[in-house]
Amino acid sequence: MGRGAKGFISYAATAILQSVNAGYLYGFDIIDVTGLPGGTVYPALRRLEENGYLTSQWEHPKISQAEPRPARKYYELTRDGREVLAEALKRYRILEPRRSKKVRQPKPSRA
Amino acid sequence: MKDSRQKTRFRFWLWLIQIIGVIVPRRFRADWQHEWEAELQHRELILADWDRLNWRNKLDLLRRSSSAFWDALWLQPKRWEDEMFQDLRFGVRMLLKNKSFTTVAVLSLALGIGANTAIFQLLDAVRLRTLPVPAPHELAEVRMTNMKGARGGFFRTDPTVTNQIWEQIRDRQQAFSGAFAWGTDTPNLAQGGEVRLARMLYLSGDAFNTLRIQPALGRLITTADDHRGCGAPGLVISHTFWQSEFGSDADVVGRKLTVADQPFEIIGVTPANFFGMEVGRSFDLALPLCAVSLVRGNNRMLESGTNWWLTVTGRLKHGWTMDQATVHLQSISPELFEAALPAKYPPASVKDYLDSKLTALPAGSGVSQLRQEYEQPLWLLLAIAGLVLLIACANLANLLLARASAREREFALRQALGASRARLIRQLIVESLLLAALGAALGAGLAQALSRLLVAFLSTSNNPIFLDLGLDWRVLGFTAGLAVLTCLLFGLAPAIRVTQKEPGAVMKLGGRGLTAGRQRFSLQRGLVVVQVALSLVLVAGAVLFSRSLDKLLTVDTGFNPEGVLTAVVRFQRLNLPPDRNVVFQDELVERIRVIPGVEAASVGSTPFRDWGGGKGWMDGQDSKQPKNVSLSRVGSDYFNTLQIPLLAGRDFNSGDRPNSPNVLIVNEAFSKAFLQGANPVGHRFWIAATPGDPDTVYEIVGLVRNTKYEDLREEFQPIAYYAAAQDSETGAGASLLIRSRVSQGETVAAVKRVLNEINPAITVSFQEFKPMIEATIMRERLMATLSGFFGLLALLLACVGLYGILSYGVASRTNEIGIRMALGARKETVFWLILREAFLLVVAGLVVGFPVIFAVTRLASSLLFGLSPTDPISLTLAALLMLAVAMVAGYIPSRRATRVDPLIALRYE
Repeated sequence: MGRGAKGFISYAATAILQSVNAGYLYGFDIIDVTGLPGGTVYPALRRLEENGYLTSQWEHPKISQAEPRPARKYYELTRDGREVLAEALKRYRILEPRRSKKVRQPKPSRA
Repeated sequence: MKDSRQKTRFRFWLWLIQIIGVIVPRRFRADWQHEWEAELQHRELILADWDRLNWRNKLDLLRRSSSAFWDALWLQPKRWEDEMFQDLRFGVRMLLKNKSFTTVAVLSLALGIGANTAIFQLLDAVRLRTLPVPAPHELAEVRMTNMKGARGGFFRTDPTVTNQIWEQIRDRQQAFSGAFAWGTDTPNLAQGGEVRLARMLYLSGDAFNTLRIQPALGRLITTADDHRGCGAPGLVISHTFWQSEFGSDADVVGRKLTVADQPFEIIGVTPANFFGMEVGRSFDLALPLCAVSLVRGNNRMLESGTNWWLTVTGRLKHGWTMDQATVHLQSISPELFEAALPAKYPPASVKDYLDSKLTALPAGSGVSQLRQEYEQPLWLLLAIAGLVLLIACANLANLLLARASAREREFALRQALGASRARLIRQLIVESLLLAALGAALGAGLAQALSRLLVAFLSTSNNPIFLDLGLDWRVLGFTAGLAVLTCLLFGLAPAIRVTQKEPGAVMKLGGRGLTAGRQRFSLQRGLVVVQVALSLVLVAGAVLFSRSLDKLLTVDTGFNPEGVLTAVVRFQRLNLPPDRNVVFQDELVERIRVIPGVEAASVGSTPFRDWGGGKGWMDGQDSKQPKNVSLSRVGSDYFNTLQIPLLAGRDFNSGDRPNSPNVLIVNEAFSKAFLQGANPVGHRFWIAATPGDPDTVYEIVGLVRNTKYEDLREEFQPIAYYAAAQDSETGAGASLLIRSRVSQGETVAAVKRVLNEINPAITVSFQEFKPMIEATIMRERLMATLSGFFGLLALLLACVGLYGILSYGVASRTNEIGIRMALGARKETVFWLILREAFLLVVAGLVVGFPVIFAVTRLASSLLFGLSPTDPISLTLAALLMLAVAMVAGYIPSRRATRVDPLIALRYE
């Protein structure tokens, strides 16, 4: 995973950053949209966060209390994350077209 | 409605998250669980909203929750990183907090580990390392199984063969893909004045090829260079010689170097790591075997068949084992020795010579006189150093136990707050490991200096020792292993001990109490007893070795070496006719005798350096049963020069000339061995034929006192002195002994001046006699010095250990002592109360230590001179020393106990 020099991240990590960038902010949504297993996505999210490419926050209690259910954690790209993603997309061109294509809508999110 | 239903329903996926959460590091656990639960519940809610919470989607939720397991696994390294880092940080903080403790602990460990590593490094270099050549395990040395049939001149102490035997082996052997012979010599490089000796390695042509050594520069010796009558072949120099003599000049190939007055052209340089075939000795120059005739000025080394100077080494053919090679060599031995038998071999030894057998021995680690002499002492020293380290560990364990008791409340509190016992033990072990690692790092550095110091200690100007002391994996592994072992030794017991206590009880105790429980110190006391016992063993060893050395240094040699200078003069360059050499020797001695300050001077064999022996029998006794006798060739005034008293008969005089009857002077051991102690003067003695001389009869004209001949340790042996003046011809050199009143430096300068006046082409080398004798007991000196040093260290450590436990005892018994004193105990009673404890601990240590001494000192018996390993005086001395040290260690705490103020002591209640 992208632990080393800036810009060198794996294919899976690129896919995850790409999906966060596209607005899928929660772990399960990212799993759905990337098709990667949960055992890959979650550790990758933690590493990307550790490397400063992502930040995580808890959603506002107002939203969760309405359900009621525990507050979810969502991820956002940092400036570094955006740069790294741009770099990585140059290398993994295959991901590029998916951006413009209409991605299959996952199960609706309430965020 | 739906919500309440959901709350009551058992949801397996949430339950799974709870279970998996257990293995998530505590720091992340809450967050982790929260995130997974929120995601699962959110998904579940949506599915319920869509009315799609069917069994298929439930299974999907379950599958998703199980993938949390992989997430949890990925977080595991964090746990270790976290806790290890925490432990390390805390450990460093604790060590910095107690700077004096840390310093003492690290220094004592560094000393212990350093001493062990240094000695191991020497052992590694001398014993364990292989020659720096490819596939050294294939190398075999071809040796004679016994040297009974060998007669003539011997040039090394380890078994060797003659050139004739080597040539037969070369032509007949089938076991080796390549075989070569090598010998050593020390030719002179100087062209006049004081001699400058070079270490020469003679190699037969196939040597470098067999060893698979590539040149660093130019080319090496090949079979084409080595043939009889090769004249002045190309000279190969060692890498060190190239650096020191030629400043690593890349154009050295083709230059000339004068060796023993003969110019040789340099053809190549050996690689830096090749130090020759002998471990402990390096070489400067290498020449093909055939060149020895030119360097020595005669071809006796190659032609005589009675000069034993070569070692044969071979590389086993593929698929051959050492045993197969031996079987093969044994089978070819009879024909081989038959073919190699020299024409004029002494008849008495011919049968033994023909019966000789060859054998193959592993030679991957080269040959080494140093190894033969020092391997056993080094193993013993390693054991001694190991004991010192053990004592140091016991000391540290005691210090840590004391410290751990002081930290009891800290640990009780941490346990009460939920820390597991394993975690606390790990914390303490990490602290110990930090100490051990620091000690090992410092010790490894110290070892580099120590091992070089030891090599310098053992080197003499005439016998410089070269050892490759680089750090290899064995040394590093040894040091690292020591660090871990010591850490476990001193860290584990206190760690287990301190965490054993019931936290509640410790907190309640509040660090107070009238008298600290007795059994609570039992471990500490046990450790001190072990320390004392081990120290006793080391001190006893030190005393034994020191007394042994003292005995050797004061042993009666029979002569007085004080103020005697030995000189070896060479005058080949004058090219005198052989019959003139004897007269010329006399002239030299006469000129030296008149130098102011010189009391006496003589030509003659120098004891401890010039050895020679033969067999002989008294005239009229059975000539078939000759006995061994040591021979010395001496000039006039020899006995006066060495101050050996003449007991009967006369000294050699001017009447003893080559054509007068042969005369001998013998010593007391001779008369005891051959004449049952009767006065030998007037008897006739036969010296058996040697390869150069027939049986010769001598008349004994004098009897002198016994003297040591080759070794301080030996019993006096029968010596027969024959007159140098009766030799009709001799070599162009002389060994001189000069006794003078003035300093040796002045004598050296005066003798050099005189020789230069006679002829500048005469070369000379000097050596003081006394240091030369002392160099022969270097091993004993090493043992005495090092065991003394280790013994002292052990005493010091035991003293500190004893002092530590007694002071700690006094500190924790302050209340008790206060009450005793308040109730009227006198100061002396309190003083003895504490000192008695010191005494009892030492006595217990002695009781444990003595059986150990009886069991282990046996190992050292071969290294002792004139002492039994259980010498009562030495052992009593060691025990008394131990007791004295204990009393010193006990004095301060005992004094401190008498100064306890009952009022202050009781106020704490």
